[in-house]
Amino acid sequence: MDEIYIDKVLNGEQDAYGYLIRQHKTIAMRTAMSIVKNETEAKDIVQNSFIQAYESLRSFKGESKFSTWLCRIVVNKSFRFIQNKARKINFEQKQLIDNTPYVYNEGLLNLKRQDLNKLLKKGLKLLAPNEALCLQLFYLEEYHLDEIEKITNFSKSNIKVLLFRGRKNLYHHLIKSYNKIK
Amino acid sequence: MNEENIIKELFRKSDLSYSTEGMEEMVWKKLEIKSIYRKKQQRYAFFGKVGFSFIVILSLLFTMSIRAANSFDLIIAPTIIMFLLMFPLEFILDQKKSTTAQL
Repeated sequence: MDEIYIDKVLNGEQDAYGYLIRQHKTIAMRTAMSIVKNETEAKDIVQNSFIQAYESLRSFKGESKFSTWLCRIVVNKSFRFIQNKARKINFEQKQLIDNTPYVYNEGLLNLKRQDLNKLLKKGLKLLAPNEALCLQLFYLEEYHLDEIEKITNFSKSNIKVLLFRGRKNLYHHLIKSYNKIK
Repeated sequence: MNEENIIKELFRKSDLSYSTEGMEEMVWKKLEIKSIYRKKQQRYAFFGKVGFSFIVILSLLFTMSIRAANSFDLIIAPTIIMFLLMFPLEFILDQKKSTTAQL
């Protein structure tokens, strides 16, 4: 479906790009949020990514999905943004891996969707950007490792490590937050 | 159920989304501003080039005229003309700077 609209844009129908924005803004926003952790900044990055994608649409060869290509732009811009700002976010994942014992908490799965969304947003915010990004792309967007490799430029083995660490850290953050609200 | 399955299940159950209100409008607005800025930049670049070429030609003519007349009297008039020509150029450059600042 995307290809039809891309062709339309390339043939001068600028309005067709609106469809692509509407279709992919959610995934682009989630991707940017997993890295920059701030909604206003993420919004700005996504807008600029859409502009860059629009301007270089002719260079899109169609070898991957449009969303993959767009996510690559978003990821690049987001990482550049946090590097430029030289942000120091305190991540607690290392201590958590070592100290917190594995506890299966059934209550997490019985949470209402609204509460679960809140908890997940909070948990993802506390993760390191590359871990949150890999988790989001793998579990939420259901991308294969090949596609995540294309988007992030991380090696497959690195992605697997990030997924493993991300899962552990996110789980512990969720348990912690859940126990607080319980 | 192991940790991996729990996380998988949690993501499956959730519908994580962030506000994207006004995103499309902002993209169009920014694209419009960018295209206006680019057009202005092209125009200024054109005027700049024309102005610069004009000054170079005038300088050449000025040098040639001094050599031909072999006199210092001719220096003053072309110098004034050159300075007068510099003002529009400066104005253009200032405009360009302010447009950049706005963006």
